[in-house]
Amino acid sequence: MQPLGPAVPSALNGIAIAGLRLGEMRGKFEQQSSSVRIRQTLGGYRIMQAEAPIVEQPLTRKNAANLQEYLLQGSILDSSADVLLNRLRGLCDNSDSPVELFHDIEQVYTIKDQANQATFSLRARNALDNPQLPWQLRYVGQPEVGDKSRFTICRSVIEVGTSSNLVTWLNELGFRLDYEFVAKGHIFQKGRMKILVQKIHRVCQSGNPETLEPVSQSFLIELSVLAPPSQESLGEEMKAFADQLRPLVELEKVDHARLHVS
Amino acid sequence: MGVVIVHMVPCSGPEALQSTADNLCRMIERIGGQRDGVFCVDCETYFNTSMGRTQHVLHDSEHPASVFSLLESGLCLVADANFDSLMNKLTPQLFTTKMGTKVECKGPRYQVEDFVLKVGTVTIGTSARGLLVECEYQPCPVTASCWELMRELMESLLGVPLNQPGPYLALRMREIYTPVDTIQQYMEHFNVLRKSNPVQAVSAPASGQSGGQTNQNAQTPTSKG
Amino acid sequence: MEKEDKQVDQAVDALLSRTTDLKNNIQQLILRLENEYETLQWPAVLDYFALISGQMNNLLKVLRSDKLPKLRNRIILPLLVSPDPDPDLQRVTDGRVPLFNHQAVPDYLRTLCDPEIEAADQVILNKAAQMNGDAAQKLIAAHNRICQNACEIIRSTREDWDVDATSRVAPSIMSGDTIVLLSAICGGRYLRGPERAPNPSLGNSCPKPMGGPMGPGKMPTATVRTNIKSARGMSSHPYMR
Repeated sequence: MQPLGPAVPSALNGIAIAGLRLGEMRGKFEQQSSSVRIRQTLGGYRIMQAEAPIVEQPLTRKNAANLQEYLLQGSILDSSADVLLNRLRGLCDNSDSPVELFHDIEQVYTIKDQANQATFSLRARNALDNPQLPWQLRYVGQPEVGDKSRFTICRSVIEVGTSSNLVTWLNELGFRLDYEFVAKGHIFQKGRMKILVQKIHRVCQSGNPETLEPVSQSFLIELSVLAPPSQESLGEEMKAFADQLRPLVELEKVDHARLHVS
Repeated sequence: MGVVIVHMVPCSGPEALQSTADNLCRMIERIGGQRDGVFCVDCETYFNTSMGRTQHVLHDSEHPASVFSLLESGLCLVADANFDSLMNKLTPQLFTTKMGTKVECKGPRYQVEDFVLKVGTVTIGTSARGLLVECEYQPCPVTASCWELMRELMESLLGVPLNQPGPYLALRMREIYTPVDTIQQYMEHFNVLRKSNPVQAVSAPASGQSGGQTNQNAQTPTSKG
Repeated sequence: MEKEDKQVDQAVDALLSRTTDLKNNIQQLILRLENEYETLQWPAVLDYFALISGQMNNLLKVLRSDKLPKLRNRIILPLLVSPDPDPDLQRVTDGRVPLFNHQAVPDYLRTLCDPEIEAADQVILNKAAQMNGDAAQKLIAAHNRICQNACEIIRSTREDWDVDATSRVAPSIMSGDTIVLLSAICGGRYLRGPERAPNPSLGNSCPKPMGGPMGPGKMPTATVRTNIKSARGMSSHPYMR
């Protein structure tokens, strides 16, 4: 799937000026506007108008799907990462196509609510290797507590693809940059599971994403699924997959409450 | 994406809204317009009381997968449909919204050759406040190149002269048109209509923007809420 | 009488099946040793031995089972002894026993040991009868001690082998790193200001749970896995079965 960025309107315009009706372009873009992948929500606003706008009401808004993220995390030393990558390549889908790489910067913005003394955080993620992709704004909820029998972390997550003026928008609303990091690594997919093998770097000079320093000598591994709530069979699926990676990597439910957060 | 011009139609009062709208529709059909469904542009306003910020969240049925968030400074964030669930999550702790402030512009949509014409009645809360006509010329992306053409069509439909485009569009005549510009134009009109009294008759405009006696600084709207 | 006959028949059938399995396994082993002796690996041979030992266990189990009538009380009499090759016998025994003559009878229907072995046995039995109680106890104790020592030696050697296997395989997980990374991503630790994540040396083959940057008094219990445990599953030691 090619990202459809600013290049597309100019293509459209180029042809449009020649007098073609926009309606004829409709068919070409419709199949590309169907699925929404991780971080690759299409620059949809430029394309959507090619679709038939015969909508009586706007899309359902108040009852948009509440997605939960089921998560397992672990780490592996740099020296053994290659072995893991090979194993994942064999286990996951599309083993004959090259492994997908990603190089993202994620910034966490917080706002303090004077009334309740609570802090809200939102995460803004941008692909550094492909700046034309939409930015991703993410709200990540607290992990559900109390369910000891569940094998995975379960937390609510809302992901929104946005235009590139996200940071300005956040700043104007009163959010301030709390911290940022760069994640570089590989992304695998198996069915509806997404596996990330990423190296986390800190940004030494704020504003300059080239000055990087790894946070530790390990890669962080995340196995996650975004699904509607109450899907218990998911846990089994994820557990089975995690078992296949043992003893190279121990993917488990890390108690986020115990993380020492400054 | 073509060029879109949103124009406020002068009406002699709320009772005349319906008849004016019907007249317009008839005229469009007479020039060959094919009715193509309905459209809706709506705007909801959120306040962040602790920081004093306001944002307007707009939806346009022409771009159903997008949600636009417009800030006081004019910055517009374009997001996908999940933005609504995000706003649901952030209210009521971070943002609040007042009842009865939702602005909607609804009406029929017509396709006339390369043009798309929409006639929309603006309602704030439950009261009808005005009439907006949207005209899109699809093949051309630059306003300056097709302004004259669109002006001709609008003048023939509305029967009133259009001397210049609205303040927002006037600054962007030579730029490539984007859907954000449509939203900004709607927001301009919504702000004007919000301030105007529903009973007060809106006099015939001399320029492309109506409400001659209201102030012209619709560029930086401060919503009353 | 008939019940006993039936029991005997069943017992013989069971014994026959076990013996056939055993025979087949031994045959396979011999074939492999003869034909593939150049490429044969010790672990494969050990596999066969293990199999054969298992089969023998099964056989002995059947023999020891309660349902078995006293086979000791039954004798096998040769009814016909002839010096000519018997084709039926050849067929039944896969060509191993071509004829049933006077030489074959004592070999195959033997119930006692060889005379030499019987004599040696008798010597030992006499010796044991002559020994008195104390000496016998001492002998028994010494015997037990020797057995214990042998077991101990085997156990410690096996542990040494295990540790060798572990250290040869490089540990792939640094416990505590998961916590470091997640603290960074979720909480921003080590990303603001000058604080850097601690870097425990990799030469540590026995990582402690506090290897990570824990605050005082916080022990992440459920999240720690030691390297030894993790590498144990990877051990491909031949005796670890």
